[in-house]
Parts: sequence; structure tokens; C-alpha cells
Amino acid sequence: MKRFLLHTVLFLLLLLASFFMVFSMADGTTDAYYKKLSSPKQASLIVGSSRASQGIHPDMIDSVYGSNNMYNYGFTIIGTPYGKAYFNSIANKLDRKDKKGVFIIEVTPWTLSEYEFSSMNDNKYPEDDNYIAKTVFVNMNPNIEYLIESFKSKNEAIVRNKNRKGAYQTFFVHDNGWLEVTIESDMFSKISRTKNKIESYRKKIPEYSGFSEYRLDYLIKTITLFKEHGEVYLVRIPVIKEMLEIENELVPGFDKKMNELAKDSEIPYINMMPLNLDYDYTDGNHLTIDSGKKFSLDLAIQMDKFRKNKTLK
Amino acid sequence: MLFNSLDFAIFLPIVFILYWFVLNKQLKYQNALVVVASYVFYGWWDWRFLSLILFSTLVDYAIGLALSKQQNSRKRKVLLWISIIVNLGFLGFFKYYNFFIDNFVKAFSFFGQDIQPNTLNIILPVGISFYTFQTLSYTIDVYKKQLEPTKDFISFAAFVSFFPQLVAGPIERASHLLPQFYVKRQFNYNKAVDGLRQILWGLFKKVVIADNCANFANTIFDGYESYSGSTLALGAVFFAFQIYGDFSGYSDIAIGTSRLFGFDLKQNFATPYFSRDIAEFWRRWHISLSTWFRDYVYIPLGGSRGSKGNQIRNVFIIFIVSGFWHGANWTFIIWGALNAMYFLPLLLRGKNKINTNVVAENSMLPSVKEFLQMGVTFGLTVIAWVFFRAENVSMALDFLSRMFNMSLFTIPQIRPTSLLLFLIIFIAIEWAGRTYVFAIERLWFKYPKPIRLFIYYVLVMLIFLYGGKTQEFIYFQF
Repeated sequence: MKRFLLHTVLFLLLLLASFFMVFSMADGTTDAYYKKLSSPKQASLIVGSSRASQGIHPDMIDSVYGSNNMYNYGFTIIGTPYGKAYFNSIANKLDRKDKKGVFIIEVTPWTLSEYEFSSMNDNKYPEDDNYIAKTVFVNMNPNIEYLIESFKSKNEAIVRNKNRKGAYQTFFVHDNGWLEVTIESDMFSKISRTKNKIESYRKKIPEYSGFSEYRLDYLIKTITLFKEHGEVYLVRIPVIKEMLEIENELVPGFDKKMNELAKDSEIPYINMMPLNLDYDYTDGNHLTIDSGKKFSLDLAIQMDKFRKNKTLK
Repeated sequence: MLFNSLDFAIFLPIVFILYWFVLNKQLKYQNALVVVASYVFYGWWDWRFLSLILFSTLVDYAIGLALSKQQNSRKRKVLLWISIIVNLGFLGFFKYYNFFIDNFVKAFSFFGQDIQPNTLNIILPVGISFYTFQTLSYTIDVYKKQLEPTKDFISFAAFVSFFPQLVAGPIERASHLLPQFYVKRQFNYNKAVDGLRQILWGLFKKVVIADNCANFANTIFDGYESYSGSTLALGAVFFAFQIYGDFSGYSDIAIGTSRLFGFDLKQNFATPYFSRDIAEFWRRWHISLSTWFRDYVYIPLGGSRGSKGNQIRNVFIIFIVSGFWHGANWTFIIWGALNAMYFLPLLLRGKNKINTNVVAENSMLPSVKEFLQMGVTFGLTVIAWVFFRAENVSMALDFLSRMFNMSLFTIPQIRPTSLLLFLIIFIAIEWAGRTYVFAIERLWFKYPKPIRLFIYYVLVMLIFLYGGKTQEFIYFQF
């Protein structure tokens, strides 16, 4: 028996060391989330959907606004709408020792809408079972919890994906959390992607039943949490006209609601939607890399103006 | 609890240590631990269904004791029927209630009568088909006086709920497994190492072969209308390997796990895809179920004795019942009937027992004739699997009609290179180990131990790296 246990334990140790070695190779090439869930706690955060994840460059904000190490903790509209799961994840990610943080909260009608799924499932929200809810340890590296519980691909992808950085149709999450998506930029591809995106988002509308008080509550909680640790900005990222029309249909008067929320919370609401013709999009919904940089720069300037105005007052 | 889950990876060592180190002094404590562990294992899915297992256990234990005291043959028969009705009643209610109701409705509406029956939202308890048959074998054997009824309730409860094979077999006979609970188990190094080796091979079959085949089989079956004949054929082949890897993998893990605790379970698969005819295939596929039906249904019906008409009837009954056991859907019934049609010519020509040995037993490669025989048998099996996998009969027929056209001779639209490579390696290993109980049982014994350990290490790493998305075992639904 002792011989059996000794041999088994030694073999298992060898295997566990090998597993750990593979997990240690996970990085920004692994998938669009891993890097964000394995970086240290952060004092300044950008939160929101994939629009924020791809469109807000933390380094641009830092350089203009003077913030220190902004971190992009945005994911997707399906994965991280405002709610309990995302709030807990944000709270775990936040470095609570720092009180001079800068926080950008990106809002869209999608991340603040009631999903039909919830009414059918006793108020259980779709994100309650996904990676964001399951990953409790959001600053562990390697994040074994995420890789075992939530990583969708086979583990060999951890090794294989390392070679594809910069290749077309791929993505890479930078150290500051910014998601770089490398995608064909020719006009034909853009038109095709935009058409598909508009169609798919139009089809999504019946799955939603309008503005969600539950999501609004958690957005308010997020604002309150951030306000305890620094300056907070509520931001809407621009999209093309057709996408805006869908969003207006989804939540009529969305900007009015956000303005009221901002007023009540005593934070600025920076609605960049009126400037949507100034930018270029990969699919009508996400900013291109260059437009993302320009947008981040413009946003940082706006934020800086608000800060100066506040100081003057 | 899934064998291929982290939960089981934690559960197994805990039970193992308690079993061999804490409770090893007393046999009854060890058996009690088996019962508790088995109920925890099963309750991990849904603890509510534990009551079903407990009830079956109590009924069959009591009936076994009553049978031992009863000499009146009519009363003995009544007792047997109580056991059959209780066990098959549960099975019938949970598995077949809605099927029968739906078909009654269709039959009535065919004759112009519309009825509105109550269908129920019934959850199928995991493994009910397996443990029901296992516990039934006990009462039938006791009734036939082929087995002494047990007075040891704990041993009996352990036999009914034995966690390694509780939810997907092998379906053990009471005469084989129950006596093993009466004697003190001694830890045996070689047996335990063999068990680990079998678990490893089972996991490889399940995680690398079955789960990866499942991804492509699902894609092709779900969108079969848009694929060429060759792609559909490939999809059906992937499903054939999925179901083999899934089910035989589960059996290997179950048998290997049992060996860690000092138990021997029956072999359930013996490289069935190397069969030279359908009769041989059915001697090698899901052996514990085939022999159960043979002993408790086919032989009592008269088996292959009697007139040709009776023989044909018995073959159809056994295969159709076997199909229906798999699921409450006409697709399974047709799958069974199709296999009966494959089998019948062999039986009627008296050629159903010509291939009883292992193919090419004393040579490295099969002869051309054997190779062709295996190819034809595999092809027939794959066609039958289409019915098994399809959601309904019309889908299966449509799938096959789209498969058998000129596009069958084109290059498939889906060509997963790494999976095909794995399948080739897998088939080669299974071929090389076809004479063993499981392929890698003694396969690399001619090499020094460090080399063998390295091969096992590579297998584990392949499971770790190439394991598909964790999927439930297909046979849990049966």
C-alpha cells in the first residue's frame, strides 16, 4: 500500500507540475478575458462592454488626463451587463487602499436592459453562471480557477495561441487590459461586418424587455463604490447611426436617464454619441484601433475639462 | 458527479483513504462507506432521486428474504412479479410515460379522435435503467434458486448502489458482485495499478476521443442539411467513435475504480469495431446488457431453438427491447430493428458463432478478407448509429438519403486534421491491444518501466491538453 501511494503521489506531483507549467503560459493571447482576470488589483478602472474594452486605451487617458495606470476591465454586453456578478468582480478587482483613482463607467442601453431570460428563470440572470460570476479570484496569476472553470477552449490553445499574436482575426489583451482586435480593415470586409452586426443586434431586441431597474441599481452601486475611491465619469461611446437607432428603440430616452443618474450621483455624463461621425468602426459597433486612440484622447480632454471646471467651482 | 470532473478527482482519493486506512479493520464499516460514498456520488446530481434507489433496495432485499422462506411456487411467482412491477414501474414512469402518452394521442388522432391527455414534466433519474436491471437480476436469480438471498442489508445496498458502476454500468449480476461484499478485500498493488491504467485509458477514450468527436458530430448532425454526403458520412463515423469512446471509456473508468477498492467488474467492451460480423459485434458491445437480455429475455423466450418463425420473433424482440431500453423514441426502436435485420441472416444460416476468437489473433495485421469483413460490419453499424443519434426517424432517413448520393465521393467540407490523427493513433493502440481486457493493459510491458511511465505521462498530458469541453456521458440519459 505504501509503495502504491508513494508511486501515485510522485506521479501526480509530476503531472501537477506539468499542468502548472502549461497554465503559467497563459497570457493576453489566451482569450479576451484571461489577462484581465489574472492581473493585480487596480486603483483606476475602465468598466463596461466590449466597446470600452476595445475602444478606450488606458495609456491615452493616462497621458492626457494624468491618471496613474488606468486599467481596462471591460468585457462584453452579454458577459458583463451591470448586475450582481459584474459588481462583485469589480469590487474584487478594485484596490481599496487607493483613494485617488480614476474611473470610467461605459454605459449602453444593452448593459442596462432587462433580458427576457431573467423573467423566465426566476430572476436568475444569464451572467450569474458565466466566467465573471464563477471567477472569484480576479488577481491570481496564473488564474487556475478561471482556466479550469471557465476557459472555453482546450488547454492546448494556451500554448498554440501564443504564436498568433498580431495575426489577422485575432486579439491580444495588453498589460493595461486594453483589448486589441486585429481584423481586416478593407472597405468590403467592414461593410459586410457592419451589415451582419446590425442584423444580429436588431434580432436581439425581442430578447430584451426594456430598461432594467435591477441593472440600474447595480450601476448606482458601482458608481457609489468608485466615488469612495476617486473620480468617476459616466461615458457613452459612439456607434454608427443604424446601431444608435436600434438602441433608441431598445431604451427610448436613454441619454435623459443617464443625465438624471449623473446629476443625482454628482458625476459627469460624457455622451460622445453626437460625435459619432468623427470616428471609424470595425463593424458599426466597435471603434477601430486608430479611432479608439482618437476617441480616448478626446474623452481624456473632456474629462480634464470637467475636472478643471469642478476645481474652479 | 462526473468521472471527468474536478469533484470526482477530489472525491475518489478521500473515499480511497477512508476505505483502506480508516475503515479497513471491519468489513461492515467498509461496506457502509461504499453505501455512503455511493449515495453522495449519486446525490451530487439530484439527491431527491436517492429515494428511488433506496426504495428499490428495500423492496428487493425484502423480496429476496421472502423468497427464501417461501416454497409455494405460486406465491414465489407473485413475489417475483412484485419486484418486476416495482422496478419496471419506476423505469416505465420516469422513462416511458410521456412516450406512450404522445403515441396514444397520435394513434387516436389518426382515427379522428382528438384527446388532451396530461403529459408530465418528468426528469429522468440518472442511471435508472442500469440499477433497475442490476437489482432485478438479484430477485430473478433468487427466484430461480441460482443465488442465495442475502441477509446482509448493507452488502445488498452496496451492491445496488456501488458508485463506480451505478449510473452507466457495467450492469453487474448479483451472483458476481454481491459475494465480493461478503469477503474482506485485501489491497493488491498490481490490481490497483491495473485499475489506474484502466482509468487512464477510459479517460483518454472519453475526454480526447469521444468529447472531440462529439464537437464535430454535433456540428454535422445539427446542420446536416447543408453538408455533402461525404461530410455526413464523416459525421456518422465521428458519432460512432464518440459513442464508443464515451461508453466504453465510462466502463473502463468504472472497472478501474472498482479495482482500486478490490472489486472485479465484468468486461463491458471488447474492441467491438474490429468485429467481422454483426453477431460478433454484439458479443463485444455493451456485453453486460447483451448478456442480461440473453439470459433474462432471449433464453426464456426459447432463444435460437424452435421453429424459424420463433427464432425470427425472438431475435426481433431482443433487439427491439434493447433499442427501447436506450430511450423512449422510435429512433432507438428502429436502431434495434435494424440490428435485428443485420443479425438475422447469420442466425438463419447458422453462421452467428463463427467469429468467436479475436481477429488476426496470431498476426500483426488482418487478412484482406478479415479487413473487408471488419469494414462492412463497421459500415453497417455506422448506418444504424445514424438512427441512434438522430432526433427523429424522418431526420435519420433524410440524413441517410443525403449521405448516399454522388456527393459521398467528394472531399468532406469538414476535415479536422488533429482529430483524424488522434483517431488513427487510437485505432492503432486498440488494434495492438485487442487481445487484452482493455487496450493498454499489457501493451507496453516489453519496454522498461521508465519508458512505460513516460507513455502514461504523455497520455495524461494529451487528456489535459486536448480534452474537449467537459460533456456528460451519453449513456447517463439511458
